[in-house]
Amino acid sequence: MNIQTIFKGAVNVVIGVFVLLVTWYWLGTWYPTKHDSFTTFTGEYQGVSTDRWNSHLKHNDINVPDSIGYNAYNRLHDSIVTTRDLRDNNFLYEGDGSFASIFGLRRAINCDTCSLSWFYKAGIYDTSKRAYFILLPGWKITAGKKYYLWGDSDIFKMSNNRYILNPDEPYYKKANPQYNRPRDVRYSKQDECVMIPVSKTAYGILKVSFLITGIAFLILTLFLISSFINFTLDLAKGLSFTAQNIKRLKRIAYALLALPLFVFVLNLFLRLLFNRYLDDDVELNPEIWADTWKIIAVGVLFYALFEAFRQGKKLKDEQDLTV
Amino acid sequence: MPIIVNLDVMMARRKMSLTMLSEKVGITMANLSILKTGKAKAIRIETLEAICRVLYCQPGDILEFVPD
Repeated sequence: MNIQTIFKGAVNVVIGVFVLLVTWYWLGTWYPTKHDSFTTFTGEYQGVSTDRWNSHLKHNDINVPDSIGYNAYNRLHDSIVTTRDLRDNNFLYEGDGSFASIFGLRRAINCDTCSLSWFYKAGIYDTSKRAYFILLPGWKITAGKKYYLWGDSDIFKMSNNRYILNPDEPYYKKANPQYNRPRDVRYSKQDECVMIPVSKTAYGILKVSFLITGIAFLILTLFLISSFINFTLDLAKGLSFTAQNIKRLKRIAYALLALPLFVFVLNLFLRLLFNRYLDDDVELNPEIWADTWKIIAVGVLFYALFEAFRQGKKLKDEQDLTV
Repeated sequence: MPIIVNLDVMMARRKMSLTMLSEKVGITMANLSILKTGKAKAIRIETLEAICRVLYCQPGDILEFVPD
């Protein structure tokens, strides 16, 4: 057993340990803790910044008068916003997952008449009032894009267990005569995207499927990372223009170039699949494509490297076989 | 490949081994073996010149074109 073999073995062990650690950490985020915990969630909402004096509360909730003091205004404003979030399925559990910018899973409290005091006393433990959703990060509702900038928009509200789109913007009302009618779709305030309600059984099956898909995707990603690491190690050893290196570069380039296309096609497929829930005002979410150009640029770079190394190998072979 | 290298034929005629030829020509056994087995992609003029001088032959005696 020579030193090269030992070195290669050690590198593979390091890569394997790294893969196991990342997988262990990632799996940990998929399994919920023993008791559902709202500490982080309520901690965030308790710290809501209320420096927005021009709130949009009025047409779904009581208007908070400006004449009360600053602290009292903040407390009342926060209480109203938090209650509305509770009723609008925006109280979300930890431990759910999302897969790239394609789909995700969410659980939420489902009670459009409940109060905050009910939630703090019994709501956390009452499993009968739960709703389950598929999240579609690639799709958002046109009206949502402008109002959620302010964080306390109430264009959606739950009423009699139906979700109603109720924007205040006149241009939207004119362009979308279907507003103020019950919708089957929900809207995630935090993620600014569409949520499709599903049953508890479907949620359970999907969670397992997502876990398996997620693990497969993680393995593929780590395989590509290890390809790149082995490529750089080969370069360090002086083995530049080898067939193995060319294969690695090709693999990485094709994966990076195919990823945005795969995400786009899958998003379109999901739109088709859930067409029953989605009306014409559901559009592609431009934010998920903001960084796509970086992935494509890196993919193009690796493709250029692949072509350069392929040509280099041809020249090297020609030189090696010249006597 | 259309170009066939008949080095082994000339070596047999001159009763010369591969080792002896590589020493006299001044190229490695590996390169000579590549040439002899027809895997070579190119041959330098100086190498051809050295082989022809050692084996006392013409380039056409070593290289033969056979169309596909």
